[in-house]
Parts: sequence; structure tokens; C-alpha cells
Amino acid sequence: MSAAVSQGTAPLLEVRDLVKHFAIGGQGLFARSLGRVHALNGVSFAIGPGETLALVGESGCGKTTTARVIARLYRPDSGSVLFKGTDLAMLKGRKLKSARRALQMVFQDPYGSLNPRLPVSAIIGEPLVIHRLGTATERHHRVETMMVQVGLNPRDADHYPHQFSGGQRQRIAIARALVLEPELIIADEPLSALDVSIQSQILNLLKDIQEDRGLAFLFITHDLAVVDYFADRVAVMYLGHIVEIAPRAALFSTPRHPYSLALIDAIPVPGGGKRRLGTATAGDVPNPASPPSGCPFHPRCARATEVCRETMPALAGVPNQAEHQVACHHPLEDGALEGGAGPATGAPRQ
Amino acid sequence: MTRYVMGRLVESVIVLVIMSFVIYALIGLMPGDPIDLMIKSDPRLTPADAARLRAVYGLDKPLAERYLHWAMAALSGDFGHSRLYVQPVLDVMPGFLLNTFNLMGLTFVISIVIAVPVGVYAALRQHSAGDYAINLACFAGISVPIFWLALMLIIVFAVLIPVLPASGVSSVGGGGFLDRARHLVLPVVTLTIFSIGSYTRFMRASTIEVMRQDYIRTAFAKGASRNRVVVRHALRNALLPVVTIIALSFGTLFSGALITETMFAYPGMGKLIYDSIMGNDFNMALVALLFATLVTLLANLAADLAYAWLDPRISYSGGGGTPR
Amino acid sequence: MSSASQAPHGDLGPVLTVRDLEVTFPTARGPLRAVGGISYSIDPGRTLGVVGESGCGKSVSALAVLGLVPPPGQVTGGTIALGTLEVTAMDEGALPAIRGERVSMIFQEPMTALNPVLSVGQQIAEAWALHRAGTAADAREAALTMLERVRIPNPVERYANYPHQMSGGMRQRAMIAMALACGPELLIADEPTTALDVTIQAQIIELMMEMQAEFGMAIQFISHNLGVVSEIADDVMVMYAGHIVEMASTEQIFSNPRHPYTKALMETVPRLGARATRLPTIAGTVPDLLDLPPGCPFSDRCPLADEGCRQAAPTLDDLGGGHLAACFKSQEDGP
Repeated sequence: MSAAVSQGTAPLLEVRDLVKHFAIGGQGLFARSLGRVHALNGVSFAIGPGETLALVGESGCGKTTTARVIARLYRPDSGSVLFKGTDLAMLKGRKLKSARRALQMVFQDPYGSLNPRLPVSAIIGEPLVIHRLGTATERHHRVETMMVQVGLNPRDADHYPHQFSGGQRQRIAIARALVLEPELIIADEPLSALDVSIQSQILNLLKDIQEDRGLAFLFITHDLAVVDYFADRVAVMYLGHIVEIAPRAALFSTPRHPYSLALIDAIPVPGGGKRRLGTATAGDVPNPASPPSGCPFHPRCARATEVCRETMPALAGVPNQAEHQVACHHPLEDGALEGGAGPATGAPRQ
Repeated sequence: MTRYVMGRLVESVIVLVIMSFVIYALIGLMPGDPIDLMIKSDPRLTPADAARLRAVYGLDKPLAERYLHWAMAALSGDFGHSRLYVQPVLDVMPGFLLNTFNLMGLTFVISIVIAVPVGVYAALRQHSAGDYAINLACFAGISVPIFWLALMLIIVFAVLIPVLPASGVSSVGGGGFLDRARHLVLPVVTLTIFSIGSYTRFMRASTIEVMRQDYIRTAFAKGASRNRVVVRHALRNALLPVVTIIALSFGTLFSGALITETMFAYPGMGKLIYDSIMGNDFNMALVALLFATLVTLLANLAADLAYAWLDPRISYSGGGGTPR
Repeated sequence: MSSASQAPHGDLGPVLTVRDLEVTFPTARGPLRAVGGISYSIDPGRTLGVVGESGCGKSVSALAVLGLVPPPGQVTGGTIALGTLEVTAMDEGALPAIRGERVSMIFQEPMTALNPVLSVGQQIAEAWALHRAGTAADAREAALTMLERVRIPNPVERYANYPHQMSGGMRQRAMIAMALACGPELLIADEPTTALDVTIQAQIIELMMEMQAEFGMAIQFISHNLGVVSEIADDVMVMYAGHIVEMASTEQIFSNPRHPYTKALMETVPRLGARATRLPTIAGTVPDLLDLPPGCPFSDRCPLADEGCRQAAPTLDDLGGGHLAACFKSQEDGP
């Protein structure tokens, strides 16, 4: 599955060199702009048909912005989003509509993304109405089938979103995304708002969908454990850059970027004993409005040298592992996970 | 900060220029002009005379041309003569302005001084008898027609128990401080009753909202007493939205005073605007309305500055507003 | 910070003793028992992890310790004692004297938990000044010391910062500084790392462990995240629908969970490296406290439940070695 891209088959979705900056401050006739938030600084990746790419990183890394640019909620400053080889920005009319149909989103907050004044049947059926698919009866059947497939009781079709629990609402959102039979689903932190025991239910549901329908996913999350369970490939983002992209197994067994290692190390393991003091990565995630020079991770990185402070390393393949790319001047060697090549420690810096 | 204020002032000037044209155009579109009035009052005037008079006053020219002419004169400090008061417009204004500021300023201060603590009190005792009583009083104040209220006050305090004057700014021939103050009492009470209700309601709603915030729980958790939590942690946050509403209502207070000023025959700006429009005194109405616009704009600016002063998250100077 | 680490514990027994605590919220559909009679204690300098999903009563029971149950909720039964001082018997007006002084609390959202219009330093200084005699300069000095102790760089500069000028991690550090300003015996932390990024979460956990070593306070650490609790707690208490279903040392509970809910919670969380085709799930949803099944509250979601479980609620019993569980099935098994 994951090899689809490298084998030369056309990727389903290709993102090329996306750049997106937001202006901050300033409203009104004479206000000046106070600066720019560098949300995306040249992000590129591809997703093959049926493949799941996880986009992971901490707040402000640009993962959500990436999703929104792909879903055309934001216009990128530069770069392009190719869906089946065609630039989405160039599409118009019927072609755009069909591309939209093939690309659906599931959001973090299942309540905020459902219209509270519509019954569930109308919410799930709305995309069918918008795309003028089927007769009213056919649509009705389609909605019922969808509800069963995502584990909802079709008898609740007349209920409103507030009458459902958080997990059920996320099922409704998933049903709405699936009803048009898309080829790619962008899921932006679909589990974060849910209780622990409900997260596994939703994750299983997504996994079933992934396997039964051969859907491709762009899965955005901060939770690496979920990524390990769900993704084929993983892209790690930091401050608007992809710092490492690799097949799942390779990333978790031999992470090459110190930041990827820091993320993996930071995950608390149930039953893993008390935290060893002095192992946390120091420092704060920098403000995207004033990113550090050179490699954005250098102020927090124990391996940083002069070159890291000056130039941003390019994303390049690890020798003999074409699919494993890392943007680091001093990438980690094998065995970094067990060894003492841990990230910087000590007092937090600014 | 200075840069921000300068920018806002320039914006205000632009708004004023646009408004001056809009008001000029609206007055121009009103049926009737001063010449019509002259015709009515002097039946001997022939249509030819009227046309000649219109030419003299420039009333036969297109609206835009008349406006430009007025604007050029205004720029050189000549806002024209008042037809009704037979004086330069700028000489008429100050007396009326002073009266309105006395009335409005007093009303404003009294309303806020009462509304803020009463609103906080009601919020802290939500659903208590006291809260219900305050709410009822607020709604009564908001709903009572202002002219009726004015009449009732006049009947009670000037007629049945004649302790206060019913109209004017001062007694004939009198005019000492006490005399003027006595004349202010009834109009101020009327306007205060009218405006205090909504201030109190806003303050109450805002305080209830703030008392639900996490930082209030934090303040309790560190051992602050209830009074301390309210005064130090809740009040300033609760005032934030109220400041805007109060400042915005300042402009409304200006026009709301019209009825009150009329009822009490109180020569203030509201009455001036009303009389000059009814009397086809274009120059006077135009300048008075523009002045009302200016007051509203400045009140808005003051609200934004007060907001920045109260809330450190808002910064007009740049820099400090971004995290880290 | 003269009295910081000399809080009166020692041989006096637990810093916190909760007995049969019951908290009830009146609702339109009848009284809602958010906490249904729980008992536990925390010894000086120990960390108790409290685990559970939303609505299990973990936050409300913690707020009850400070007498801060949000109205219209009320403590409707049981006792809470800090050392020998019975909080539940105290007059409302006497509670501020112990809040921040003997027991402090930090919260999930350090952004909303700090007052946006006061500087961070002022808020820490206030926490000190509320319980200590001294001038404004003394309070400022105490706040600066605290900022330094929670490893905030440039304390003098940071003192004047407003919450929005700090990062999430810095804000939580400031909250901890505020909570520890008077050296309390007990710090209650309600999901203190949930809103933070993972690398920052690790920093805050380490900071709390370091602070415990320095100040010697006991910690009640509330979290839905089993991994986080396992990293910091000495003992763990698992709550479900307002009840304690299992309580044991961290080691015992993770190596040998005895209650079906605890077991299910542990299995249901995806773990790094444990890649299964499907995750085990807990059937059903988080319970509606107004519509609990009769008998054991977990019986309608429990794979082991039988008729007996649906008839009567099990009590929290010692299965041996201080490992407590409220389950007929695990009690049958024996230790």
C-alpha cells in the first residue's frame, strides 16, 4: 500500500511546496501589519490511493493549516495541491465539484461541525442533495445504510446532534464524509475531543473503513501512539516544515530527526514506571511569528551546531532508504531510541 | 499608541467629511426650503421674486455644487448664518452645548455610579429577591416612555408638590448656581431613569459571565475572600464589555435628550437640532448634526482607548500583543 | 519562603482523609450524584493518581476538598479532613484561610485559569500575600523567588508579563508557582498537562516531581491519561460513575489490574509498538449519572457481568496487599 507513490503510480494527492503566511495585527484604514505568522514554509508530500499518511506535530506546527489548504478553506501563498494530477486551484464547475466529492473532511469537534438545527438524516444526506445524487427515496436509503455502517441506529435518524453523545456525533460526521464515497478523507484530530473508551471505538471504525473501502487518509494528530496503530507513512512537522517523513515502522524503529525522537520519548507509557528526571526536551515550541534562524528545532536540540543555526537543512533521503527522508544536518544513527542520544535536557530556554 | 490615535483621528475626519455631504444631501432632499417658508408667510411674494431669491441664496444650483460651496466656506471657518437665531452658527452653538453637557454629563456620571454596583450586586445574588426587584426596576426604566415619565415628574414635583421648577435652565432674572442646579434636577432624573436600566442589565450580565470563568475559580482556590475575588478579579474583567456599550450609548444619549429637552423646555443640542430642522434652518441643523456625529466618533475612540487600558491583551502599539 | 517545606506533617497520619464523600447536583430530572460515597486518603509527600473518563466525579471530588463545588452542587454526605482539621465541618467564611495555605489547586487550561488583566507576577504575589504578613515588596520578592523555583527564566522580566504573553508551558509553570507560594501540604492538579503539547507535558511532569522533592507536598493528580498517571503517581485510584472501582499502588494496578473497567481502559488505549489489528473496546458510552444501571454501575458495559452484578453494588474491598477493587468477580477470584 505504502509503496504506491514510489512505484511510480500516480499519487492520489500531491502537495507541492505549500507556503502559507498569515498577517497578524492591524485592522482599519491606517493600521499596519505587525508581522507574519509563518504557518507553512514549503510543505511537500504525496498520498497514494488507499494509503494513510499521518501528519504529526505539536501546536503551531502547521498540520491543521495544511489540511485546510488542501480542503481549499485557505488559499496558499504559493505551491500547489494536485488531486489525481490536476491542480485543484485550476478546477472549475463540474470538475471542481467532482474533486470536492472525492475529498472529504472530518473535524476535531464533532459538535461544532454539525448543524444543531438539522436532524441527523438531513446532516448525513445533505452532501447528496448538494451534489444532486439520487431521488429522495434513494437518498433516504443511502442515509440509513450509512448510519448502520458507522454504528448508528437508523431509528435515530430524526434526532438532533445534541441528543447524541460525543462519540456518536463523531460517527455522524464520519457518515457525512463517507456518504459521497470519497477517495480521500482528511481527518483533523478526530479523536482528541473524545473520552478514552470512545476513542478506541472511533479508531476501530476508521480502521474498518480504511480496510473495507480502500480509502486514502490524511490523518492529522498529535498522538504518536494512534499514528503507530493507523498510518502507513508518517510525516513529522515542526514550525511549518516537514522535518521527517518515513514509513511507519521505519519512523518508530529508527527515527532520524532529533525532534521525532523527542516526540516518541515524550509519550508516557502506561505501566512504564515513574518518569526519569532530566529526560524531557527543554524549551518551548517557538513562536511561528518569529521563527529561529536556520533549522527551527536548533534552540531545543542537543546536536545543534553552527550550521544548524545558519541554514535550514533540506529534506533528503536517508542512504539506502529512499522512502525515509529527513531534514537534519546531524541525523540520528540507528539505535537512537535505546541509546543515550536523547535530546537536550535542562532548564527551559526561551 | 500615538500613531494609532493619529490614525483614528484621520479616520474620524474622513467620516465627518462623508457625513457632512450625506447630511447636506438629506437636508437638501427635504421637502420645502427657506423660500417656501417666506412664500407662506408673505403672500405678496410672486413666483418671480421666489426664483430671484433662490438665485441669491444659490438654491437654484445643483446639490453637489451647493455642497462644494458650503464646504469651501466651512474650511475657511465660515459655517454660515443661522436663519432662526439670526447669528453666525458658531456663535449660537456654545450656549446650547454647555446646557447639554451639563445635562448629559450629570446623567452619565450618576447612571454609572449607580448602575455598576447595583449590577454587580444583582449578579452575585442571581435569582434572589433582590435580583428580581432590580431586574423589575430596570425593565420598568427601560420600558417607560420618556415623555410620560417627564410629565409625571413635572406633575408630581412641580405641580402637586411644587418643590422644583418644571422648565428652563434658570429662573427669569435669576441664574445663581443653586437656581441652575434646581432646574437640572427633573431632566437629569428623567434621563437617568431612562438610561440606568440598560447599564445595570449589561453590568449584571457581564458580571455573571465573568464569575463563571476559570480564573475566578483560581482566585477562590488561592484563598481570596469573596469580596476580594469580586473587586480584584471580577470587576475589571466585567467592565470591559460594558465600557464599549456605555461609550456607544453616548451618541444615543445625545438624541435621546431631544424628547427630554423638549418636555422641560431645556435649551440643549437636541432641541436645537429639532428646532432648526423644523424651521428649515439648514446651516444650523447641518453643523449641529455634524457635531453630534463628532461626539459619537470621539466616544468610540475613547471606548477603544479605555478598552486597551483595561485589557492588556489589546495593544494598539504593536509588539506586546503577540504571545511569547 | 520560610515555612515552605516545614508543613506540619510527619507522624500525624494522612494529609488528606476523605470518608464516604457524596456530592449531589439538583437537576430538572432529579438529584444527580456526581460523587457517590468515596473514601480515600493521601499520606504526606505521596502522589495519588486519579483516573477516569468525563463525568466519573474525579474533578468534582477534588473541588470538594477546597469547598469549591460549583453551585448548585453540594456536599451531601461524608467528611473531608486535612490532617486533623475537618474541612466539611468548617464555616464557609473560614475556608479561604486554608485554600492556598494548606491545600492548593492547579487546573487544565493555564490560559483561562489565570486572570487576563493582571500580570502573572501580581497573581503569584497575591497568593503569597493572602496568607503571609508582609509588605508589597515582600510579596513581590516571594513571587520572584517562586518564578525562579519553577525554572522560569528571567523572573524579573516575566513578573510583569500578562498570561497572553506566555506560552502554555510557561503559564502552567506560573500556576504551579502560585499554588506552591505558601508551601501547602497538598497540591491538587486537575488534568494539568492535558492542554499541553507532549514535549511540554513531559517538562511539566518533571517539574511537579522536582517540586515535590523540594517542597515535600502530597499531590492528588487527576488525569484521563493512564500513561501520564503512571509516570508520576505512587498510588492510583480509578473512578467510574462517581465511585472508586479500584485503588492500589501504581505498580500493582498496571501489572495486575483487577477491575474489568481498569483492565478495559488499559487495553483500549493504543500503545506505541503494540500494533494490533483491532483495539479492544469498551461497549456502550460513558454512563449517564441520572440513568445508572441498578447494582454495579459498570454492569451494563462489563463483559463479565451476571445477574448478581445487576442486583447489588459491590463494595470496595481489599483483595490483599492493599489492592482494593469493587467487583464481585475479582473478589471471587481471590488474590
